[in-house]
Amino acid sequence: MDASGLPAFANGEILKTMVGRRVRTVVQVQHNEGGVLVGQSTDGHQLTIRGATDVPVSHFMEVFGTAESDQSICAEVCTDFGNSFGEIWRPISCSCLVLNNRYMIPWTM
Amino acid sequence: MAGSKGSFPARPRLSPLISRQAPPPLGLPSLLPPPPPVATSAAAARQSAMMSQDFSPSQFTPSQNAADSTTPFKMRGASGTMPLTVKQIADAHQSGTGEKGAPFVVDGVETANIRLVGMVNGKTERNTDVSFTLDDGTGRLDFIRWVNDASDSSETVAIQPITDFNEVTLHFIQCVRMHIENTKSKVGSPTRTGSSMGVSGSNGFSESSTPTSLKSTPAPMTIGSNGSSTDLNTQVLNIFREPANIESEHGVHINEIAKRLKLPEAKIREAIAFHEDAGHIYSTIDEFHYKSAFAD
Repeated sequence: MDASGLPAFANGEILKTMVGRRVRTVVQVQHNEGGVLVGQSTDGHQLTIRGATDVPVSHFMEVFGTAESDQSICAEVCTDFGNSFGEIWRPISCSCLVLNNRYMIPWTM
Repeated sequence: MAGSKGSFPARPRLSPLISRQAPPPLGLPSLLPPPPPVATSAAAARQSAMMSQDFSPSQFTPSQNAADSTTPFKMRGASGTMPLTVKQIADAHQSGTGEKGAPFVVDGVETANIRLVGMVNGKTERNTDVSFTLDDGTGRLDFIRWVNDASDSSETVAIQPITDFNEVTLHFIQCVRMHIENTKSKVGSPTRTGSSMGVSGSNGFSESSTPTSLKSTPAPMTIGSNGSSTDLNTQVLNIFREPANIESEHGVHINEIAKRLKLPEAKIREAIAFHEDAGHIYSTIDEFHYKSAFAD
């Protein structure tokens, strides 16, 4: 199994500790202009996604990329999750902390 | 659903697939060849019905996403699948018993049928096989499907593209929960949370069973004192609460339990009678088949 460079699950809070690392997160698109997308993370932070694809506003988008700062991600791959994603997206905020910090065995870090 | 942009490294993004398989050896399970396009929708509908025990059928629409041109596999999956991540599979070890159908152990639980959710990368079709890599964020696992593989029914594989991305989150939550329950049960007596990880709402998630179970010891146990009887009762109940047995429609045959615990049927009957009186199990098709009364 190839475990190199696996992205860590991140939300706005966790992103601060992941600067320079590959991360994955889901944001809700708030506005998108010229390849720079601003979205709201699962824990309410405003994140800037550079190089994002054109995802409609209010849609949820999964981003794989590199954390450039505590509030921006350089996207590698984006996936439009549509606007129905989100019934359980708020618990993802807690899940990120759980997954990354406590129950790390199912996940690599 | 393709999402890659032209200015980024060419990296075709394929929709994540649910991959179900019973891998006898780790890492190289076999897959069925892709069905023709016309059969795909019908197979997907059947697959939706087959997977209703894990997900609500409404979440698997027969219609294909237009961008999902690289997700042709539709096959039936075995029931009683355990949600796992690639890392868990990589850390698993093969069962010492070597019995068919229980090839490896994860968190102390023998596992034969697993469920993965991830992103398909690098699909390569050849004359003899189709190969691809599944990336679920915890690791990457290579898959090979031999075109002319004469697999028996116990090794059927189901792969279906995800149309509702809440399934991705749900799968990981199920993995976490399964891991927690299985590792907790190794420390002390099995604890049943009784709480559902499913979320009620318009998505209509149906809860997949995530019972707590321990790996049954193959060594015979001597029954003498009441304390030993309690251990037997616990062992018998754990067998009923294994994921595959909970999802089995008919439950478990008494002979199977007797074989696994290497005990006479009369002793197993005593334990079954105890649990039946307590409401833990109930008989199904006949007086030899019993099933756990708890779905999670």
